[in-house]
Parts: sequence; C-alpha cells; structure tokens
Amino acid sequence: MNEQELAKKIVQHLDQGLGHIRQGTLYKLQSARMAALDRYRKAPEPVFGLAWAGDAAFRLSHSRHFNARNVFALGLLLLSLIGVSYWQLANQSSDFAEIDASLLTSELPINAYLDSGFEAWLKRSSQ
Amino acid sequence: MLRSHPSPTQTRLTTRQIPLATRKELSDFLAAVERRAYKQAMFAARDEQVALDAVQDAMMKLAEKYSTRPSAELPMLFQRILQNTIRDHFRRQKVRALWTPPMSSLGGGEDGDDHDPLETLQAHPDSNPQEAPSDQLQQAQTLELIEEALRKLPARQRQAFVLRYWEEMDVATAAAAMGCSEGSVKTHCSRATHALAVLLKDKGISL
Repeated sequence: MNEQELAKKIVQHLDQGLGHIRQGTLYKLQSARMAALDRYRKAPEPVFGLAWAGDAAFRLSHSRHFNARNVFALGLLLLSLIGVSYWQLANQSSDFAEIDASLLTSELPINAYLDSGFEAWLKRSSQ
Repeated sequence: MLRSHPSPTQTRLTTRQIPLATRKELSDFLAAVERRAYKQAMFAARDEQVALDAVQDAMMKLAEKYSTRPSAELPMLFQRILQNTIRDHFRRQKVRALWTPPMSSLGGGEDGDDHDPLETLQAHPDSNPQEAPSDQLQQAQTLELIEEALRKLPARQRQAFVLRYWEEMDVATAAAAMGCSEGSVKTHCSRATHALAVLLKDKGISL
C-alpha cells in the first residue's frame, strides 16, 4: 500500500470518528460558531468624499469645547491677527513710499549713506 | 466529499476578482470545518476544554479580522490561526509550568491510561443500526488507535498530514498555512504517513 492509499484509509476512519463526537461538544462548537459570526464585519462600502474633513467637522461640532463663548473668543483672536497683519503691511508700504520720495527728491537722510547695503546698491545702479 | 483549495499564488492573483466572503459563506465554512478543527486541536492539546477554546478563538479571530477576505482564502487563514492558537496555548502552559509547584502533579490527572473509548462513543447518525456490534467495536478500537498514533506524531508531521489529506489542501496551500516551504510539507507528510504505518503495524492494525 502506497502513501496516498494509506492516508486515504486513515482519513476514512477519521471522518467516521467525526460522527462520534459527543452532543455536548457539538453544542459547544455550534455556540462558538454563532459567537464568532456575531463578530462578522462586512466590508466597508466605498464612500466618495473627503472622509477626514467630514470626520473632523463632525468631531469639532460634537466636541464639548464647541460653544458660543469659545467660538466668539476664537473669532476675536482671528480678527485681531488679521488686523495686526494688515497694519504691519500698511506701515511697511508707507515706509517704502517715504524712502522712494526722499530718493527722488535727493533728500535722503545722512543715515542712508552710512548703510553699506544702500551704498553697494547705489554703486551698482550708477554703473 | 470533495474539498478543493486554490494555491496562495492563485488566490493572490484573483483576490480582486473573487467576491469577499459573505456571512453565509463564513457560516457554512465554519460549520464544515468545526469538527475536524476540534479533533485537530484534541490531537495536539489532548484536553477537550483547551481544544474547544482553541477552536473558538480561531473562529473569533477569523470572523473578526479576516471576514472581509475572499472566501477561497478562509481555509488557509483558519488553519494558520488555529495552529497559532494551539502554539500559544503550549507557550502559556510552559510558562505556567515554571511557576506551578511540582507537587501539584501528585494530585493525579484526568488523563488515565485506562481510558475506554467506548465510554464516550456515540452512535454515528449515518451508521447502520443493523451493523454487528463486533464490527462497531472493531471500528471504534481502530479509530482510537489511529487517533492515538496521530497524537504521538511530532506536531509538524501531524499538521502536514492533516492539512494535506484530511483538509485536502494542495501542497502550496498547506505550505502557506504552515508557514514553511512546499518541500517541507512533502517531507513532513511522507514521514508522518510512514510513522503512522509503523505505529499501526505495531498495534496489529491492517487498514
């Protein structure tokens, strides 16, 4: 008898043995199967959209920090930041305008000629 | 009885085409495999409660973590999980044995050598009630000796034999389930069958 034949005969006996398992054990196996199937998770359906953005918006709107007082304070902070940035930009542009006007009217302050960068630029532009 | 499993390569290639396992498919698969899985665990652990726990753990893990995989992959995944669960049990047992006083072994275990297979034997639902009692007894004794021989095999040989011949996996799938090469599966199978033949011959059993 070769390997395959012997294995086949052994398996026949083993299959017969499956019918001799006690009812109590079979019941436990069935219960285990049912418990396992309760944990079955279906494959998630594909959803088109920004999953994280939606989730973030949901989380923010359902957060315990999400109330009118905090929203107002956050808005005020944002407005302040925007105001400061705008004021800095406006100030900077008026400084440039002042320097340009002084340069055109040849009324530069003496400190301008002491600045090495300005001197270098002057030499380059005059060449 | 015809159970066929695709090879892992074939499974990987067709993963996109094969529909994922439905709850019904998973249920059918578990129902078909649970008795053999229990026996397998019994061969390894030799304890009914441990075997039941191992099968339940394997079923839970399969349903929880791998239920969204194609149904063709379920046999290989289940076997792999089951073997890992049994191995984990032995690891825990080894650690526990280090901390358990050796005196506890004097209490006497439940696994006596004078276990009579007929005590737990029940009539097979498909068996012929007209079958001679002597034939039934002989079958029961043969089965007991075969199961005893399987229990005596080294774990890897027993696993290879069960996967190849009882679970009817092809060599590639069995290798994937065992986490070894196809050559190793063939070697383990051959040695297992040879050892079983010798063990059964020693007991005077001719199949």
